[in-house]
Amino acid sequence: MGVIDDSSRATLASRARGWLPVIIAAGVLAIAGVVAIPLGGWDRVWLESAAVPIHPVGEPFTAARLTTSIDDAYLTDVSPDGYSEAEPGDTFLVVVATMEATGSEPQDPFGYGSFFTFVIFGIQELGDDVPNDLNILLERDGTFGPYLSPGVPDTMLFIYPVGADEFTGGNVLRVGLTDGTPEKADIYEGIRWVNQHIAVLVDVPIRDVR
Amino acid sequence: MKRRAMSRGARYAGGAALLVLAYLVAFTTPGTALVEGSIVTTGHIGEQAITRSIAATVHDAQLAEQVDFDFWIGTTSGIWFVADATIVATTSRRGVEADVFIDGVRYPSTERVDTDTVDGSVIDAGFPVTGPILVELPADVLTFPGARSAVLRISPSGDSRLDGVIEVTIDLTTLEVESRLELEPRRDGLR
Repeated sequence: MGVIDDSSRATLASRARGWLPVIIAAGVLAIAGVVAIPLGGWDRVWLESAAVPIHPVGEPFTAARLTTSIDDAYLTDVSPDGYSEAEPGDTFLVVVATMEATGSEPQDPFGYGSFFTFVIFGIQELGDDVPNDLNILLERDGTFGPYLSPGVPDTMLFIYPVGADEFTGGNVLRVGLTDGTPEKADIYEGIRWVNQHIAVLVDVPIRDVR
Repeated sequence: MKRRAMSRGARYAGGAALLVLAYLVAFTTPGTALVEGSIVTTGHIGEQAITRSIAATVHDAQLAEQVDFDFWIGTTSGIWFVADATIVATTSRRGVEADVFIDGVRYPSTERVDTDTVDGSVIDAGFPVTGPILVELPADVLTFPGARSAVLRISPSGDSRLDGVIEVTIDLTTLEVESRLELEPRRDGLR
């Protein structure tokens, strides 16, 4: 009595081995639970590296193609181009941005293909088709669709026709400035952009000047 | 006749020599940019340079903080490079474009005044046109190391690979910087 023979010990060990995955899983969950408690539980734990930082209005953000500062956003019924009229029930959302090409080539301030310089959630997002009713003007003389020479900053007006009630003065327009990594293209002359992503967010108060 | 076998050392040395030779061949093989690059004709201020499809004479060059045409005032946050040039197509009508290269950076001629610049539209063979080329450069360009050897390139528009282009090297630091320059728009004929 009280003596465990070799065969009983072997049976216990083999039983414990059978439960080993469950024991390990329970241990990991217990440790994770202990770690999560001071952080407020799993539903409140965020991967900090996945959070897109907020960038101030009017401050330049330097990406691989352009340095861009989102300066202003306003609603107007009179397009800055001086001749476009809003359709009935529409108005114009104007985003004012100061931009400078940073590389060795001139840049389209809008971007290339669907790799836009910035996105406006709900209007123009990465991977979308180019908005065909968007107008881009050089603020200083109204040139339509200008290119930016490297090292020569200028202010651009991005004019989007939007529904008259789609945006409200005093609210915030969230703009995402993008970035990417240039690589030498394989099937055409030039570069392609990989790792396209929204690098920072700018919350611009919308002014209503209608 | 009996053949002598190579020693082990000689075989290794031969293999290594072949690898080095293969590396040299790969290293010295011209890349796509060189094989398909433009064919450059070097020009000089005041002299005509001729390529397969265009001929151009750059008469003079200046820098200006502002340029004026009749109905357009050209302001910039940078500085204007202004060259007066006569260009003619040699074989068939061609579009022409111009760029300035400094330290490997390309500055394109402006498209803000399409019809008034000499490079803004199609040029017919045998019918020269004269007018300004306008390029926006950074405001501090004169401090750039390459400012002494800026290259004005005049080329057929579009893809100029394996086509002739004209390059004129200009020392920007020797140019006068005008505060305001009144320009004569593009016109038919020689200067």
